Amino acid sequence: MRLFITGAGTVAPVGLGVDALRAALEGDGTAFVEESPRADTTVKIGRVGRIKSRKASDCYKRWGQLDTYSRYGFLAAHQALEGAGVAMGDPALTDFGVMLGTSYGCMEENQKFDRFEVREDKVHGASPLVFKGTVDNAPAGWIAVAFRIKGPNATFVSGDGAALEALWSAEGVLRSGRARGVLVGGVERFVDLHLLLRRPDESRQGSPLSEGAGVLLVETDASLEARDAGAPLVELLGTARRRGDLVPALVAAIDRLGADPTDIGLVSLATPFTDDRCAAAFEVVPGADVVADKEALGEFHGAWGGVAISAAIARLTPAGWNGRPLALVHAFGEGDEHFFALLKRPEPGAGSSEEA
Amino acid sequence: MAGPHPRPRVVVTGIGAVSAAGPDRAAVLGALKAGRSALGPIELFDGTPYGGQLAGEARHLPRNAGEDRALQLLRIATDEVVRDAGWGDAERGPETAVVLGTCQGGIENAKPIHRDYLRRPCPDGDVAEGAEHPRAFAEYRPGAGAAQVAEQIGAGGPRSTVGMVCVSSSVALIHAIDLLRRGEATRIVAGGFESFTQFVFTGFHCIGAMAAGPLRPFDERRDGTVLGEGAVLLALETAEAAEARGATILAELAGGGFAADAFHMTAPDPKGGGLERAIRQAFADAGVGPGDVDYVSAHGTGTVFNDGMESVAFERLFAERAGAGDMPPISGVKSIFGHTLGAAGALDAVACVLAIEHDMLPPTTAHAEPLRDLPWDFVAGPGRDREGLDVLLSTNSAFGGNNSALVVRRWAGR
Repeated sequence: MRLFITGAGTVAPVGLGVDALRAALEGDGTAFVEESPRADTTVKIGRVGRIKSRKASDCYKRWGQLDTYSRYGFLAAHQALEGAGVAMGDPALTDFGVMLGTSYGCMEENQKFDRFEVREDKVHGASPLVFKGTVDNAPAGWIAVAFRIKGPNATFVSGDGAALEALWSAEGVLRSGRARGVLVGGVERFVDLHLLLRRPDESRQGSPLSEGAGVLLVETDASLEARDAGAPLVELLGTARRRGDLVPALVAAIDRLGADPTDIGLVSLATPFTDDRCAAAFEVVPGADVVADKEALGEFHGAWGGVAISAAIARLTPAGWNGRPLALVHAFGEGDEHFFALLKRPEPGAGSSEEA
Repeated sequence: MAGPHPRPRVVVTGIGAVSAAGPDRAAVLGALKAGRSALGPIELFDGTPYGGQLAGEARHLPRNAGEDRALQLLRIATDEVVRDAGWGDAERGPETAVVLGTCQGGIENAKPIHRDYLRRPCPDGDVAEGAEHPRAFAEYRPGAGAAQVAEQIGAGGPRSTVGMVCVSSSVALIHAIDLLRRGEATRIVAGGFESFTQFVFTGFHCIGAMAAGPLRPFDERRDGTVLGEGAVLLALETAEAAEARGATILAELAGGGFAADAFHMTAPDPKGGGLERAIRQAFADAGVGPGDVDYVSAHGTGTVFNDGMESVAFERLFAERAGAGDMPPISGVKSIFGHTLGAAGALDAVACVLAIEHDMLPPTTAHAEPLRDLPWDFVAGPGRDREGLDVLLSTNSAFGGNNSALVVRRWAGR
């Protein structure tokens, strides 16, 4: 069985879709603004802001009921499906699943709901509409409801590696035949609480804080054939996970995924270049471009894996990545756990199982 | 979720369970055997605004001012599960993983953060640098529980958290099975935790999901759920690893499945389509069928919609057996412990493991008038002696239209 990424959707401060990521990777990072949450700290923040796409409200009659966190996920999923040529209500979706990751999930709705007060033996200000958004699986639920996606549905809240953990799990779901396709990735809604993570020490500022979603449609070769799909964006050769230091984890992942390092043209790291470990990655994969796209796109926390793969797709040229056929995308989660996804440039004519 | 290679079998070698019934698995077993409800009036906060409803509160839990309640429950359960499994220094390290599910985890810790930072994110004067808020924030993160367990038991392997409301811990168990089958770990502490909080209580109250009295699963008089709290953990290992160290194997986690209703965010599909798909997946994964099932531990929240949906799904799934008067016994143990949300799936799975270990059908309390007058055995009253329980099914459903199913099987050796 072979797996392909056939659609990619992103919601980010730099704009909507893979093209916006591409432009940002080539641009100057103007999507970020400096804010001073307190006198001694300046933090770069990217906010998605009001989603202007008409499609956002037009594509789903219940759009108004969705909290912002769910809207990001929904919109990215909609892009991924549209890009893959799967329309809302397509019967193929019955056999698909939704598997997402997030780090902070529904914190904004939690904050809103926590405004309730008990006065004079009565509860005041508790909104049922807000309460239903106080669940981390809200985006995955809304996507399933809106698109009638009836297969496996899961939400991981495992920190910044959550989106790639979702992909790791989705790979198992697909290879075991539980679904023919899975919308997979991550969603993150910036809340002011994130600022608590930012301490006054400038050297620990890291990447600009960001928010949004990165959702991919991953399908089996049989699914592509069954729906006579067009060319996939990339092939997903596999995923790997390993706790510990970055470099040994990188070496172990390449070994586990059976990749020849000389075939890898791009290594997309979640670790900033200021980290010494990043330099060592160049030696593991000699000749590859090693990038830290968070510096241009922002820190998406649990959504990073989905956004990072979309960014890797944005970097793909007809010759592959840096003239090589493979790209390795990294996310870094809780407990020093590293997640990796190995992508392959699609072969000419890929899209049916016969050709694959 | 089978991988491409021959898959290891996954077994249960230990249980840690803190619930309204008491601080350990013995208390769970005692309550199940006696059919004794652990529900009672709320003590943790004033229940008057909510109409004085019942709750499955862990009243035995010391109120440690310096410790988050959810993490306190989890710490106690962790001690027990490791002890029960007989894990020692040899079981610490990178081969040991932690997979937990929770709905709101340390939300109680978040209240001061929410209130303080709602309008003014980081007040001047470096308050965020003080000890209180960063610690509270760290414990508020969903992954805080898994981090604590990993540190407590010296687990150096994968560390995952599932956030899917009432199916959180059952999906965590399925994820743990996947990790073991795919060789990412040799042993895992897996399960879920949830503390009793005014936040969640207020939420369920405002959506009208709370019962006025007892929690009555599958009863015509059911009128809502009763919230509970707990931390429920299972020590899972590959059968090979468990046998190699001479462990007592309590049961096998033979398979799991999860699927969406794709119907509504908060209401279940009245036809039970998602639950049926999850169960059929679990059957296929475990290599069993409806005819093999000896007992079903249902979600049984006591709400009109959930129990109605479940009964329809079971009716269709077991149609042949129902027609022949051979419907497997079905019970809802939330009637005893309350609905523990993020811990519920693990608690239901533990009920199945204990049923196998003690040859007993877990009961449903407060049940007298079967829903739709169904002629099924809901195991009303105390736990019932029953030998020959080999294949047990545990099901859960949740907000977001999520459904999960686990097959727990008597271990008969490889």
